[in-house]
Amino acid sequence: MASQIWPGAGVPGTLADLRIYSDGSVEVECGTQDIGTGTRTHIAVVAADTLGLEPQDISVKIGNSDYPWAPISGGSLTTPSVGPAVRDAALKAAEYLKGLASKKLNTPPADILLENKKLVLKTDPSKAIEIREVVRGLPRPMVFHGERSEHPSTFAFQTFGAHFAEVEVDTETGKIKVKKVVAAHDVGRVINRQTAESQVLGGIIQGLSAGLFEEKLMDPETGTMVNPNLHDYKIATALDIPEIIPIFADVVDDRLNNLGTKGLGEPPRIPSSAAIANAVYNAIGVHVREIPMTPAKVLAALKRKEAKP
Amino acid sequence: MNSFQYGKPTSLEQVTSFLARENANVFVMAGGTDLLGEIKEGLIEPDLVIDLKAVPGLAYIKKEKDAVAIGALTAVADLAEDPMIRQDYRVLVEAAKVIASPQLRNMGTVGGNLCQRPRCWYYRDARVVCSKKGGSKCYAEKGRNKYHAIFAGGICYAVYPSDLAPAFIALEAIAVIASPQGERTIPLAEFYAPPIVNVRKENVLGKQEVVKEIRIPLAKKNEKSTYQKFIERGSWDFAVVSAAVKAALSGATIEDIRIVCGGVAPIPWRLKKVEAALKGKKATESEARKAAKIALAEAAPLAENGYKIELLETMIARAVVALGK
Repeated sequence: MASQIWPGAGVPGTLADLRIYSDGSVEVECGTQDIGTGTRTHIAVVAADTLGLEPQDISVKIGNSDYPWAPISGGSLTTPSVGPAVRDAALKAAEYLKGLASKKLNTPPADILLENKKLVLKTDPSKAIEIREVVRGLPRPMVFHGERSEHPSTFAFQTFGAHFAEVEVDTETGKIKVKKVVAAHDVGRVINRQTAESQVLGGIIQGLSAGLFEEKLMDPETGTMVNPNLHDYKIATALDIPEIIPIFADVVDDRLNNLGTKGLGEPPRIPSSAAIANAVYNAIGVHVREIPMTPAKVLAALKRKEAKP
Repeated sequence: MNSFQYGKPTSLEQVTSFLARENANVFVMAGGTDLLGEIKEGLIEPDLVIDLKAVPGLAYIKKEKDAVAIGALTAVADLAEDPMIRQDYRVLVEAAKVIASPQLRNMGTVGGNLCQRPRCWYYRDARVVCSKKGGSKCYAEKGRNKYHAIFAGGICYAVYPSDLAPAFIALEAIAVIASPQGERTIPLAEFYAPPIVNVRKENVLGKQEVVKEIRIPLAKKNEKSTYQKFIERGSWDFAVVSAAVKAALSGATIEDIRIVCGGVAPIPWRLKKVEAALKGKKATESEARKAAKIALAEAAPLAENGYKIELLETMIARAVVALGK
């Protein structure tokens, strides 16, 4: 078992624009990028959830520095930067839509909900009007600017996580087989379960590959790396990947930002090699103090153990 | 990568006549899984590449009166799937099905696997002129050598990477070699030659010669065989150490045995002293380990490959135990 602690904070001042067109279509623009972590999905999910729409109703425009400012993708800060900015813009749009609907439904905006692509009267759901009906005839697209808030100043906050690994060690060959990994993380609100789980799988697979196989071998005489290819620099293959069970605490902390969410970039990578190393120690009674824990190193560790009186 | 001519012969005679071209760098290509890598890495610069797959009738597995004949162009995947091979030659199936990946087993051929070049990282680095490439020394000897030879090094410590070669040699296979002068046969064990014979190559194939067929004696009733390969990860890797074993058993007693190892020497490495020590003994783990230690005492490991000695003992022991399974 090994644990992790990592800021997972976003960047205050991150911007996003949400635009509603007179045909009812919704677009979000943000100068972020999706490096494979699901940013595009998260933007759609946050905007759709706030406006009572489905994620596929939102057209997401990212990957262009002409769009409203967003930080680099790194340090587990993309989702907790971009998400709250999108949420801020979408909340403003929701207020605007409620204002339009309040005239048509003849009721105060506070009594109106956004759900199922409609603006619905809280007290009488039979009274409703479709979002695209409310915006029909708008003379121009309406733009809503969102900005990510400051961090709380009175307390510190982190992500927390713990990984548990089950391994099998062949003490005759020094080969380690990881059988199962269970990973639990508290990253605040989970914006999208599939991309969050995928991020955890990725962190564990990277950590397993680094922990067991990946080794940059430098040659002191020529000063070059002798294994700069995917044949000699070994990475895990599909057969090396164990059963992985991701668990999320999913505790929403509204004091952090308007989504109560934290980042999940690094967290699953941080304890993944260490959990395996500790499981190996638990299995063979001796620490392998260096990764990758290759058969040669495991056999050497077992010899150290035998040598002890 | 240099540009080269591509030859599409229609007969083996045409292949050997291509090979006979003077002042030309001519290479034969079977599956191309090794040769194309060598060209792209800048290790060889062919003037002419001859595509053996264009020649009809070189891929077959036939049971004949005194032997099983395997065409050099037989895909590794087909060897592993052949019903007759599966019934009589377990060592070949176990070796063939752990070679590389399914894609490479579909492309790679038996002949190509037996003629592939070493994977030593100094040899594979075009910038390094080591003894195998005409230089003056082996860079692995005092450099990075966790995958290198523990037997018969010296001029060159690159290990021979083939899985099929130890398996075929354990089965006493014979190579049929074609040349413009006709055909000759040679035991596969003698097909490979250590660096001291010619450090630039791993076999005794002449410039105009090409491997046409591998022949293995018909399996006898009391014969068992197996292949144990150790790789660091789950799949797609060359052997760190491997052991191919064929034995004649009488009950649990070993009447006769051949042990040929991969990943430990510049050529497939037969352990005759271990074989002699095991004759008449029971096929048990403790007997196998006792016998294996004889050979391992002769190993000459480098700074980073000493763990191969332990691995080899274990692979031999597991192979001997597997004979009875």
